[in-house]
Amino acid sequence: MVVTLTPRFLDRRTIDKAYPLVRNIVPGMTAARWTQFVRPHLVPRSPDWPRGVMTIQNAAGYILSLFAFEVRADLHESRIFHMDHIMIPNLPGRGTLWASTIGAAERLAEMNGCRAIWAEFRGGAERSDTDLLTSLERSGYAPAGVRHFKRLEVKSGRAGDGGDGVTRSA
Amino acid sequence: MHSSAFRDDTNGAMSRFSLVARAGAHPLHLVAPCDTCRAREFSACAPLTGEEQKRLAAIMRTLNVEPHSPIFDEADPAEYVFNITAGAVKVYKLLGDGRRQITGFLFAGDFLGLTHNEAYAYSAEALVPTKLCRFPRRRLEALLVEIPHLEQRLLVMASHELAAAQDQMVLLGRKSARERVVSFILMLSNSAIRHGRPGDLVFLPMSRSDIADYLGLTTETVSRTVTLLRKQELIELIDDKRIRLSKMSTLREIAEGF
Repeated sequence: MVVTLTPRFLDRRTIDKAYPLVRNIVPGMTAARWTQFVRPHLVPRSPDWPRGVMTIQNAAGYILSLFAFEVRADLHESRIFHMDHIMIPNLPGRGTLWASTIGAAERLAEMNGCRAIWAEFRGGAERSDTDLLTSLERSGYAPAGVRHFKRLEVKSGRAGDGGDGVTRSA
Repeated sequence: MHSSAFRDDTNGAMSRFSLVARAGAHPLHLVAPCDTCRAREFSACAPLTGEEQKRLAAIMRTLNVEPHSPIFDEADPAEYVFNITAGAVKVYKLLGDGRRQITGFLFAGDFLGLTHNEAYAYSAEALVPTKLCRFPRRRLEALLVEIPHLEQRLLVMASHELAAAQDQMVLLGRKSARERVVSFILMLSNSAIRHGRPGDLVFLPMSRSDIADYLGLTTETVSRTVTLLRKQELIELIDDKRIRLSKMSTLREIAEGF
């Protein structure tokens, strides 16, 4: 049996449909918060610097994985394809799904003239999927750079937090 | 894990064989559980060769689960995945305020065991007498390395829980209670067709309360809507658990909001 997996951009009509997958990867995530997060991603900053959310769908149109992406200017690589919020569920037989997800990202990066891909894992469920990291390494990805993270104390009325834990930037 | 709800059927299968052997029908023919499985043709194991089937069966146990008994609970360690071979299961999440949200209904041929961080992402409960094949997750994954075409097939089957939850999101997007209930009935009809059964006869193993929970409606609204559809002769209630779809094209129009 050949599984047909097709990359498709997430759009306004499919935001809700992607929610069960997101909820599976990030327990406690509300539909409202997901929608609030993802909507701005669906509008490119400019035609030359696309961004969006790519989904991998099966033949019946169900969303099996997704990632957010953005083409960014980079001093060293000129144009770089940045992918994050990589959500691949822990399903038996998921090797095929990883391959499709990584393949979709690489095709998109090539189409946009990018010379490198950053795949970012923020911790939590994504990070715990060591099999996914192994799969990335087999596809030629390697840990690079250093990123440090510090959670800042939220001061009321100053952090763009509407009380729902979502930080908004201008 | 509420293992007391299970009846391990492995020994039961051997007992059946013993009966056959005593009757002298096929004294040298061992009847493995898979040979008589009615869900096999639309399950993960369908494309397997005889030898591959044996290897899968070697790591599998068949279980019988009584109605309304839990199969696993959300956040339990996800040591097993399950293939439903008969019956029906509801999957649900417990919300922060203690309420329960049913996120899908699964039937024979569907797969169970979606995880988050090595724990079950949902709770699962049998709606009716249900038969399951239970596979140790790690051993199954090891087998996938040896039987690559099973991996692709499993991916299709294992995404059923996600698919059911995505169907629910589509249903919740429908505007009226009538549209939601009719869409739900048609979804079950499509599922019946996929499993080789007639699409005009829909099996409703779940309670009206479960349907209401799944559709984001009250039980009274679901009951009232079903009664209205019956009065309009769009459906026929054969008994408490089965309905016949009398006017499929009209039902499709209602589901689409016409």
